[in-house]
Amino acid sequence: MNREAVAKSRAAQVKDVKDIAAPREGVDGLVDLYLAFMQISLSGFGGAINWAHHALVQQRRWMNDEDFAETLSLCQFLPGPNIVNFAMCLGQRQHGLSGALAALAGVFSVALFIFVLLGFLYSELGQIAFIHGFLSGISAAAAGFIITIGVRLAQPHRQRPLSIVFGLAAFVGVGMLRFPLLNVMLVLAPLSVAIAWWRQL
Amino acid sequence: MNQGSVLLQIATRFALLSLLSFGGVNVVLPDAHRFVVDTQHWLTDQQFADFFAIAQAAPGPNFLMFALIGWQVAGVLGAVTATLAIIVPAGTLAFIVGGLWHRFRNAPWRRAIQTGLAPVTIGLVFSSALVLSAAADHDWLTFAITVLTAVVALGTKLNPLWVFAAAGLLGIVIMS
Repeated sequence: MNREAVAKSRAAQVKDVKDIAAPREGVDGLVDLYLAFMQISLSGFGGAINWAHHALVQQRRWMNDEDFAETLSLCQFLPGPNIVNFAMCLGQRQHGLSGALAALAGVFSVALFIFVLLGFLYSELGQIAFIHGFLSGISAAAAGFIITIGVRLAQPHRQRPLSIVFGLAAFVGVGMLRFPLLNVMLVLAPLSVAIAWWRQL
Repeated sequence: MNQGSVLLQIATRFALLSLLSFGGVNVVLPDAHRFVVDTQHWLTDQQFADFFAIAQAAPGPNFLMFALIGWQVAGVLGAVTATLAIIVPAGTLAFIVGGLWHRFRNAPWRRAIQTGLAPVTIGLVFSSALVLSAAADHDWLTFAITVLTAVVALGTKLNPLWVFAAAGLLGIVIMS
């Protein structure tokens, strides 16, 4: 994925991160986690993971590059927003359940406030002609960005016929025929994992 | 329908989507669209596309698109319910698995799961692109914006905010 590639190239550029800084004890540590994840969640456009490496590895030295890449791959693999999973994993590692909750609160508290405000503005002003036009322009662009994410994700799979079969099956099932996601996943995921398992034996 | 049962529907449906969102919330958009637009008629196609666009362009994580849906349906309480429903199930799983995962870093079953899910996820991302394009592109001009954005984003390193700004201005021109 794009973000992953960016995070990796950033990780490659930074060679001098060797010493890991220990998190602070007690409430101070929880406040640090909250602030770190609030910073990540509010910075940058679409996808906070780009900024997670900057905040966690370079600025605070809570993780080294290897740690970061490992945790990121887990968080991208598990269901749910990547940044939420990252907050749960790192928060837990530093301060157990209260650390996880502090980091999670950092991810959504201020951002949720902003989004409720935007929701309010949308329902008040969304029908004004030029705002409506502006939004329809950026929503068309947003669909384009999702195509970009798909193409980037698909790049490494071009030469793998099986990947193409399963990718197409998911696209036809969910995208074109609009079957429920749960049903499609229950059929495709075990099959695809079983074949991956069988091929690596 | 009363407020309580609407909140309950948001909570249960979004919690299911939370557990199905392998690869991030972008893969559950078709299911979310079916539920909130086609089945419940809580949102129009255009509102769904607008909310996605706002979530992409605003500071804050993209999954808060679900907060906008909750807000539209049931106000502040709806926004909070929707957000927690998307966060809590997946977050709980991450909390539990986070500790175990490192230990099984090289386990063959772990690699098989990762390898097997990847292509399915890619198909689901393209499904989301299709659903969003169908919701956002009413004519060939808006469709052209979608295609142009994909081409520019793939071919250049332009900051996406500039692309959004240009697309928004084009949208104003098209509408007037």
